[in-house]
Amino acid sequence: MTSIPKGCIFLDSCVAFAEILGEDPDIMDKLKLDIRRRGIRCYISQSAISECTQKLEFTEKFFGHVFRTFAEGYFNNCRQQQGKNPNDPISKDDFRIFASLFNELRKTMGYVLQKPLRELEKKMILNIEQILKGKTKPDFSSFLQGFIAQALLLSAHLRIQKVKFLVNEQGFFKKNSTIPDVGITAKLLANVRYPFHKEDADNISSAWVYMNTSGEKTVFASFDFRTIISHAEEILSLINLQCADPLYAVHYL
Amino acid sequence: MSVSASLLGKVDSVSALRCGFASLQPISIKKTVQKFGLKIKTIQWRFESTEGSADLIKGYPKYMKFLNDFVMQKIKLPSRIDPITFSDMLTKKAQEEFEKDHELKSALGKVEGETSSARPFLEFVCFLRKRYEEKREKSVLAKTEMFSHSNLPFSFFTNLVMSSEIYEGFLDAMQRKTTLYETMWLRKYAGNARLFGLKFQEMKDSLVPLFDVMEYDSFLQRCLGTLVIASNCDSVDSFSSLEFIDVKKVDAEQLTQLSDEFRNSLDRCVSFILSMEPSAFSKMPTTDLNNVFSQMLIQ
Repeated sequence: MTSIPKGCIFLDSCVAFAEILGEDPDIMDKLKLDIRRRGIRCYISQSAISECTQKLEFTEKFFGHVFRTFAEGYFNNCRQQQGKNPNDPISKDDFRIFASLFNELRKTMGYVLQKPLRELEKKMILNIEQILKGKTKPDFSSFLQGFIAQALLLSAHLRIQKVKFLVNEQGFFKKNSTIPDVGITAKLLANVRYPFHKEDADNISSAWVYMNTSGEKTVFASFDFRTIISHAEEILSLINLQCADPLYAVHYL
Repeated sequence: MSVSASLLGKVDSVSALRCGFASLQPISIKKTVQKFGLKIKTIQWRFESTEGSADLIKGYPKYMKFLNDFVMQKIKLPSRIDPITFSDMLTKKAQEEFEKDHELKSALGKVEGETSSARPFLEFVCFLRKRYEEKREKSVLAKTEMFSHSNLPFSFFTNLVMSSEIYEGFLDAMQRKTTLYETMWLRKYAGNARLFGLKFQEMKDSLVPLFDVMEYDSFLQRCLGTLVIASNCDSVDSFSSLEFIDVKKVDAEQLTQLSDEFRNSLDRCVSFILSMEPSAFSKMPTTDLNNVFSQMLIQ
């Protein structure tokens, strides 16, 4: 008697990062529980692993760019233009400098970086509000260094976690060495509406190759609504592979 | 402000631990003591360096010289910097720092003291672990200060911070393994020279590969630091007065190659420590920036 395949879930890089960062714990816990209970195989493809590495490098470049802009005297120049000493402690007059600095940064950054930049701006400004309520007010350099230190520490730990989950396989998913099919990748890129990228096409193509070589029902799970989930029907009709939010992924198997 | 010091690693690094461990060999000392009018034979243990007469404290500068000379063989410095003079100067600096560090010297001295267990070594690991915890914040801040006094890429500093965080995992792994041997066997076999020696050697053998991967990482960090600093020095003497590190002065090919090698070595260290201690690196720091990272990575 042949055993009935229980199905398989391929993860997008964003789902792996949600697990690493402990984001969306309710959805992730439900996904893990469903996988364990039903004995479903869960994989991350080589192309999704490469995308994780690229995303981490991109994140480091983002922080490098933002902090470099601050550190390279922009702030001090603005203060000097206002007739103030660059080394004075942070004061309420600095809010306008921060506003103009972040506006300048916003102009140089693409769509995907707007939300993270806004989040960073919010954290920095709210932090200053807190500092101004207290007795000791640091100078700008010490204030900035606190944020650089946090970014360095988190970047370092994310790289450590990347090894833990994606090299040593200490998570609920395993590596899968399936190589994307060039034809399927091209078909997806040619037919799925923008926004849809080469990395997305490769990750979905890897899942498609696995589905067709193993004969197992396969679902590609992603949190990325804008580029993947919103195109799920198009992808299904093109290559017969279901893409789903992790909240629903097991229900398609 | 000098930016050179933190780039070359501190004395309380893997090298210090290697110095306090890898060359140790248990030597038995048999004594006959008079107690209550009876002659009682006792066996005590002393950990001696396998390098003949060299003791641990004298061994540290020698070890640093060996490392610095090896660094000079790995990297190519600008022609204005003589590698031998630069290596000697780095060794001298390391030696001066070590001489000033009474706390570390005293901790190393205790490892050499007479004992009947691996306890002194375990205490030495605990000492380094405690010291790391105390200096952790300062060490990260020193790297952020370097970022502000250079135009090196952010990833260069991520590597340095990652290396420090791995060092913590390394110390934890050492501490757990040594504690296990101490409580399970070494204490039990304290009166049996042969079994004690066997178990002690087994403990060392199991830890040496960990030292090897960690030390290579530490060596690569030293290579990178030396390359970056030497490239920014007009002469050997200007080493300690550097105020800004300009990436444009560093040979791009060497910097890229060494940075890649260092990053791969860091990954290897993490992987190795995790294979020894699967529960290592289980905590992600919680900072004001976690949400920013989430938005960058989960979209």
